This record gives sequence, C-alpha cells and structure tokens, in this order.
Amino acid sequence: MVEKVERYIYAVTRKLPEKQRKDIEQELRSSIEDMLTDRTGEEKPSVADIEAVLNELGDPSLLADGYRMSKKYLIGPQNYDTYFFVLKIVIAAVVFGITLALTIGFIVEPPQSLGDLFGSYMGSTFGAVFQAFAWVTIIFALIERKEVSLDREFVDGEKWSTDKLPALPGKESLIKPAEAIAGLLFAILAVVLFNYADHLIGIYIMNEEGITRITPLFNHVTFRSLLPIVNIMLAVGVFKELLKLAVGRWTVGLAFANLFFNAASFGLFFFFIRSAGLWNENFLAFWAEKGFLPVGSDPLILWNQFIVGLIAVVAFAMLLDSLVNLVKAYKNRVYR
Amino acid sequence: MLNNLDELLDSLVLEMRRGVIILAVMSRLGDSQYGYSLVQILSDQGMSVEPGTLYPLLRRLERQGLLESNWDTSENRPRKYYRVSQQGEVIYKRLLEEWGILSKSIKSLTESGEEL
Repeated sequence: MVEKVERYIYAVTRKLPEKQRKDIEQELRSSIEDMLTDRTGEEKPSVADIEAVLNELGDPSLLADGYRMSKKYLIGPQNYDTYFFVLKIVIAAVVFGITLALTIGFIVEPPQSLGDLFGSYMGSTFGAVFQAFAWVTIIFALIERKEVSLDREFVDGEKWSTDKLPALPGKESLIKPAEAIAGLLFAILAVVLFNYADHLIGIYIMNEEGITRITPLFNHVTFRSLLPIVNIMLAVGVFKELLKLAVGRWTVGLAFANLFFNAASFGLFFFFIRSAGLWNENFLAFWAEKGFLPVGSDPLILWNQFIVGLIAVVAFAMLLDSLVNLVKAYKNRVYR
Repeated sequence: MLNNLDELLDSLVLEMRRGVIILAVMSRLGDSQYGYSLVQILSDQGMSVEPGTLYPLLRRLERQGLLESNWDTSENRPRKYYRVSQQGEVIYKRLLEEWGILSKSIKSLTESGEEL
C-alpha cells in the first residue's frame, strides 16, 4: 500500500525542476507519514487511511503547481482572446477557401461519384484545418515568448516613472483589425488556391456545347516545383498580419518587422515570377490566337514586359507600405 | 444558483485568506517546526490551512529568504524543519503593522453605521 504513496509523490514531483525534486520528494514523504501517524498512531495505516490522507493533499497536479510557483503559458491570458479570435477567422477562411476551390473544380470537371467528392472535401478540409490550427498556435506561442520585446515601453532594468509613460498612441498608429483580417483572408485564400487548385487559375472559355475549358496561367510542373517558395511567401504574409493583429498598433519594432517581412516577400515574389518556364505556353498562345495582340508581335516578349511592370508595381506598394508604417510608428513612439 | 453562490464565496474567502496565511505561519515559526506539526498548531488556533497549500508555501517563503530550514535526520523519520530567519523577523514585524492598519480601517469602514 506504500506503493500508492510513492505513486502520489511521483505524480507531484515528476514535472518539477530536477534540482528541487529530491528535497520536495523527501519532505512530502515525511509529511505524508506524519499525517498517517496522526490518524492511526503506531498501527499500520489501512488503504482507507492512505486514501483519506492523499485526498486531503488533493490533486497532485495542483500541488505541483504550488511548488512550481510561476505558471508558464504557451499562450497567456493577455493574448488568449486575440488568439481565439484569429483562430476562428483563419479556420473559417480555410474552410471557405477549400469549399470554393472544390466547388469550382466540381463545376469544371465533375468527379466520378459524390462519394469521391465528399471524401476529397473532408480530407482536404481536415488536413488544412489542422495545419491552420498548428500554425496559428505556433505563431502565438512565439509571440508569447517575444511579446515583451515587440511592445515594451521601458528598457530592461530601467526604473519606471510617470513621465516615461508612453504617449497615448495617435489614432493613425492603431491598426484596424478589419485591415489585418482582410490581409489574412486574402493570404489564406491564396494558400488554398495555389496549393489545391493552381490549374484552376486561368482563362475560362465555354464552347458551343456548354463545356467549360480552362487554359491555366501556370505551367503545372514548374509551378509545383516552385510551390515551396510560394508557400513561404504566403506564410510570411500570414505571419505579418497575425503580428499586426496581436500588437494592435504601429510600434517601431513592428514597423521594422513589417519592413523586413515586406523585403522578404518581395525577394521571394521576384524569384518566383522570374523563374524560367513558369508560364503555360498555351496561355500565351491563347492571346495571339484570339487576336488580342498586334499582328507580328511576340506574345512572350509582351508578356514579359507586363511582368516587369507588375514587379515594379508590387515593389512600389511594398516600399510605400513599409515607409508609411515606419513614419506612423516614429511619429507615435513612446518617447517624444 | 445556491451552489454557484457557495462556490463564489469559497473562492473569495480563499483569496482573502491567501495573503494572511503568511502572518499566521510566521507567527508560529519563532521555534523550528516541520510541515505537519505546523498544520496542527494552526488548526488548533482555528486557522486551518490545507497541507497542500502550506507545504509549497513554506518552500516559497524559504526561497524568499523569510524562513530557513534544516533537515533533522537523527530520528528514523527525517524531517525538514523551518524557522523564521533574521530577515524574516524584520518583515514579519512590518507585516504585522500593516495588518493592524488594514484591520483598523476595515473595522471603521464596516462599523461606522453608514455601511451596507
């Protein structure tokens, strides 16, 4: 019956820091023995006695919390509401995105059977929801560990004083949740689309028999090989929006993080869009066939000019976003 | 509903006692005591503290330097004895003063004739 006591002690101490474990173990053991002696005197304690004493000490994990003193959180109370809020949005967006992608797929190429459709829907949805859950949780766990450095107002060890209180953030430095959520939704939709339905991005033409044909934008094989780049780029985007939601206003730290993420996204975007063989030849030929292009022009050259223009626009937008938010952050920073 | 009220009351009482238990514990540790003997002494004085609360508390106070401890292994049941440290004595006296002020103002707030 002593075994039960030992099991209880083990349950309390197993997760405690190594250094204190032995000492707590011994103290707990002698305390339990004291409590047993108090009940039974010199007699051997019965099962009921032991159980009564252990019940008096209560749930071993709560007792262990008492010994541990500080509680550690994966996601603490101050971030939990935001976490839950973001999680709901992300999961809703993922489910919506997959439903959309599969609906388009269903219309364009009807599957063999409804069973197939249902199976692939459930499979994709579960997989994606778990992924979304994992990523949101990982990001918030990182924020939990780093939050102090993202949003702190005092330097370590600096003494607090009333005139060092942060200035009230100007209205313009507040990040509207709707803005971040829109960015998040957009990025998640893009993740779903690129990962599950890149062949559905293209031109839709319905012929006389009412059958829709798609001319995809991308060369499927090249695109699949570049998918990791696309996903990292989109993950950077998602991470950026989540940070914005979590911090809630443009701090200098956040604005620099934003600059960094924008630069990273742009680098990846540039690499992706300039990759050889990315475009579907039929897609380029399509424009020439339909007579959209001047006679005698090379569709590839025209297309490349368009892409260069697109790169310039994206670069400008990213630069603008980075600078505007840096200015906002500096204008509204803690020390004036 | 009644159950909820009881639970609420329990948790409020627990919260109220949490801060005061330290005073009760330190008041009895001028002489060395081990965990369970302290549980009994306190309970004899009407201040029953769950062992599961007291044992971790003793260690915390020790770590904060308010108590000091030593293992007595001379008997067949080794026991860890705690007593108030020098620093703990100073803190104890200051805490006691604070408690006096606190209980006086609560008394005057709740017995002035204007209260609830």
